[in-house]
Amino acid sequence: MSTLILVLFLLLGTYFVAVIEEWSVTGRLRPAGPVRAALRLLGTESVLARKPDRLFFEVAPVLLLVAAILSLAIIPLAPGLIVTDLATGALFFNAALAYVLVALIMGGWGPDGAYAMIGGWRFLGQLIGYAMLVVMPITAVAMRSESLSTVVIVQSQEQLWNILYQPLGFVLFALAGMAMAFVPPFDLPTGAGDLAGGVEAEYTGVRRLVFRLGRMVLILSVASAMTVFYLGGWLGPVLPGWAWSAIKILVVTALMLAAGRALPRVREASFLAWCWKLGIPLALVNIFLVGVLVLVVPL
Amino acid sequence: MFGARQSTPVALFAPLRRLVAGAMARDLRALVVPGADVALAAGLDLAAAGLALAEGPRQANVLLVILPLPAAMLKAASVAYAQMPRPRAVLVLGEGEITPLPEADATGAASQEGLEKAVATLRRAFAEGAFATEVSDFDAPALQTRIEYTCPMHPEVVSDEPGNCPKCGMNLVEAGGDGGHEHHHAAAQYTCPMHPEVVSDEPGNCPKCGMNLVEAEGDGGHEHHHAAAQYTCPMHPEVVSDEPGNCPKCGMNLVEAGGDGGDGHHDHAHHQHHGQDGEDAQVGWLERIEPGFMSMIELTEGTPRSSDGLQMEWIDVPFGPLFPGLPGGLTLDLTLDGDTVAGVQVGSAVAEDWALPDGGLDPDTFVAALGVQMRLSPVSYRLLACRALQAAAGITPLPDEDMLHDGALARERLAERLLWLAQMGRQLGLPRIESRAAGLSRAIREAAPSEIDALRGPLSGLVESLRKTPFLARRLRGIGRLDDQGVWSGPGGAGSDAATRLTARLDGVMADLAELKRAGGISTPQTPDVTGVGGHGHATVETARGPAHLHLELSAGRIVSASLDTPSNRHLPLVETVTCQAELADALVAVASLDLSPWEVRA
Amino acid sequence: MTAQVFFLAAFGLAAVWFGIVVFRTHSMVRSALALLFSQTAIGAMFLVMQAEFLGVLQIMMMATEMSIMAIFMVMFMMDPGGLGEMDMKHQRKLSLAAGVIAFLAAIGVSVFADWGPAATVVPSADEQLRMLGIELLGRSMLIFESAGLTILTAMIAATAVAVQMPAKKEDAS
Repeated sequence: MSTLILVLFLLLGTYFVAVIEEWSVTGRLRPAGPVRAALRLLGTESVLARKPDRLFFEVAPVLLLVAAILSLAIIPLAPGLIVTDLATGALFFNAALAYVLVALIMGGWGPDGAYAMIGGWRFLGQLIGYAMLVVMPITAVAMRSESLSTVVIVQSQEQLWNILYQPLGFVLFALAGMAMAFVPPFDLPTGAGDLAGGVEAEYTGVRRLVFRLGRMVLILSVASAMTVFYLGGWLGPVLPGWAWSAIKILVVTALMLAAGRALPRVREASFLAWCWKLGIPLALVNIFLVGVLVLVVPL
Repeated sequence: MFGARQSTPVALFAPLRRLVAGAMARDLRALVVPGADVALAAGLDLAAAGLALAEGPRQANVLLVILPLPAAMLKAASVAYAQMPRPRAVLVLGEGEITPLPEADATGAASQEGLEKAVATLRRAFAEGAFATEVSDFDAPALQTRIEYTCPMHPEVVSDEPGNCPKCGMNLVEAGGDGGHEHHHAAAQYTCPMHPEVVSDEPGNCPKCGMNLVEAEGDGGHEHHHAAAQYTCPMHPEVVSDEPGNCPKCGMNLVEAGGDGGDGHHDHAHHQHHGQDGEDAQVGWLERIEPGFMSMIELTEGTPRSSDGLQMEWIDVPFGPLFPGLPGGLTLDLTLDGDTVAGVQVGSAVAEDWALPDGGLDPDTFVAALGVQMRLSPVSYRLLACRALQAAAGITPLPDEDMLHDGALARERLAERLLWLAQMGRQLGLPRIESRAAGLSRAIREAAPSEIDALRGPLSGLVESLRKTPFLARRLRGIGRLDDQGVWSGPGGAGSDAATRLTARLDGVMADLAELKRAGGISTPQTPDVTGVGGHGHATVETARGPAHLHLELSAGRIVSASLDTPSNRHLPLVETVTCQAELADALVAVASLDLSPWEVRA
Repeated sequence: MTAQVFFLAAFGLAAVWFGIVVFRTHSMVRSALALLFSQTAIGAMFLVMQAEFLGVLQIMMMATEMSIMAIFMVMFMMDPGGLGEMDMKHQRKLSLAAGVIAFLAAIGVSVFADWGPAATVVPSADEQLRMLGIELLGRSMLIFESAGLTILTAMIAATAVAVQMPAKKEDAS
């Protein structure tokens, strides 16, 4: 039963993310949009670029999808409703999503196109910026829960959600998470105006469908992580736990995508400068503050 | 449908095919030729007609061609069409020649009504004919002449088709960049040890990896060339030959050794040395550990270093003429060093030669032709021509009428500025701004004076929200700074950067609105009657991009000489200034901030 | 137990195979990513051996580290795509000798070292994590801190050596 719910969560979650994503771009809510686009891509020729690194080109979309799905494995939707409750869950989330970078580098290098290649390497530069800002706020979350298990992390927020307990960490993690999922305004590897699609530029047909699916699951995964780490996961009155999880994840996704569309795409150089000159010191301050709070105010 | 996808007629899958074809018919993604900006200027609302804008040819299934177009642009369009995955279709609006593109699947007039009808036709075509058992292949002639396949190890093996090298069985690869790179096919003398396809008349560095070029085989006797020159293989230094040719071990071209032949010290890299003792000692050390090691320090010795100190990462990347972040028709060829711009070549695929035919032109044809060519600002240029004609003929314009013409000019400036804002929104990833600016631009271009009042509110709202968009000014600040550039006559003036130019354009929007109010009405100019008149005349109009000038010479009622000076033509050389050593994204923003119209460029 | 051994062997073989691929390809990027997946396979071996934290850490760190190595390869090598059929094997005799010696040494250590009694019960992942933390902040702290400091010094030194000082150079000449 719980397996069924988890699969359903993955499928419906991906679908809703796709609907919201289309809304954030076109300003229209079209429930049939994702299905139609998927069918169109299914029927479209899957063109192999000239002189590709065939192996990379084929593997990249699959790797992106697999990495994103794996990272969802540690997301608890309700007590007991989790694929695997790892003792190192929070770290595992990070480890799985590190392969998003590998997928983008492979997808960028594979098709032998300049736009794609620049997009792929750009994401590596982006990682240099966001990587520490994903790990350090998670550290502060784990300090409070005294565990890396995502279930324990949710339980530790029973009294007070982490978004209130450590708002600084939430802001940093939200921005870093958006950069990790390369949603606007951090869509440097795939920006239309900069690179005409970048890493996605040479993918067509089924390969593109897999790539887009991976992208949607990735956004879902990051939104879920924000919910679990900072918004109390399944905690909430009246409604059952899974419903709260679903509502929170959808709201986070919508906010994340809508906010990104109101901002101009960041410059890679200023992103790195902000991350290292402002973000990391703030993340250290956050760890310090949470450390003091944990010792002084046991909530 | 002509661009159908091949599928086997298995009856079992027929319902699935119908389902997919139906989905395709309702999910059309268009690549607009020459660009989304021209579609807007033509008053087309693609979203309302059910067409989404594709990011590039690979994501498009409809090629929307807005005619008439010059041959260079059609050639680029045919290449884009060849890149589109099947099923694909061509939708042609307007009248004109479309070869080398294949026959259109749907045609229509260049109006919203025409577009919507054509899209409906296209939807039916997709629903019924997206899959076919027999499909016709499309080869862009531009690609056919360009692709040659060669063996990486045997550059003398050249084939028209991919396949294997008859000498070594390796896969043939596409010969490098033999399209626009004339020096590759010139009388060859120097070549790169790593990129045999790079051949140059002059010694220098390889554009691909920055290595010193070495003399290729068949070189016609160079001055420093020893009679007893020795040739050696870049990969197998033990192979030494008196004659140029191929390495018996790997088949690579032999390159000239340093002239120290026969001393047993077969260092392949030695030929590039300048004979310094330190380096020789280093070579000796390296030779002992690993004979024949290709040291990149030696191979790149003395080559010019790019700003980051690395020489071997240059790539040529074309942006445009169909790039989503730039005006349609503008071609920007960047040489990238990592993602820093190391060199730039800018041009226009839609430029026209402005030379008049022998015997001159009659004024009506001239005015009409100017209006057609200046696709983004037809009214301004028609007005310019009319005013120049009046000046040449010595006609004093009526003040009232002139005011109304100024109104038309201000209206078009407004539409143009909004067009630029839409373009900027697209480039920076601000879809809300993009769609609002595009909608307003479309509405205002043909708006009657009474309708403009209704647009004032939304316009100032857009200007306000642009001023308030967080991080926008910060994003643009410092990009594309024009210090001491007397050439620049557009918004912002000398010393402006992309941020101040945006502010100046927003101020311009409000100023144009005020001007429209002052003009009190709008009337488009009519060609003055200059039958039988002769004389010189000059006129200037203020377009959104800067002042445009026209000198005319009339003789017996015909225009015998015309010298047009457009802002974009003047500003084109500034592209190099603003992109030099900029990061790629910054360079593109800088180019966009110049608001160049490729239509105003002289061929 | 048998499943555990099977997966351990499978991931071990995968690690070795990817290690071989590093030298069999002509492309620098492929080479770097093959090394990445070789290290990932080692991480998976840790997971199979129920050393959860180490496994996840290895898998996470290697993805980014090897990717960064890949971009350095692309930046510094003239033919990163391997179109010129570049050979990845250098100094064959020396490296063969070094490889054989290292292999024998590893075998020797694994066979002859006194590993103490084998643990009968694997501590839970939670327990491991706690023990690892106490170990890191206890007697191993000095080792880790000095290792970290050494790496940092090496990074700064390498950067300092690599950075060209054009202005200074011109002055000297």
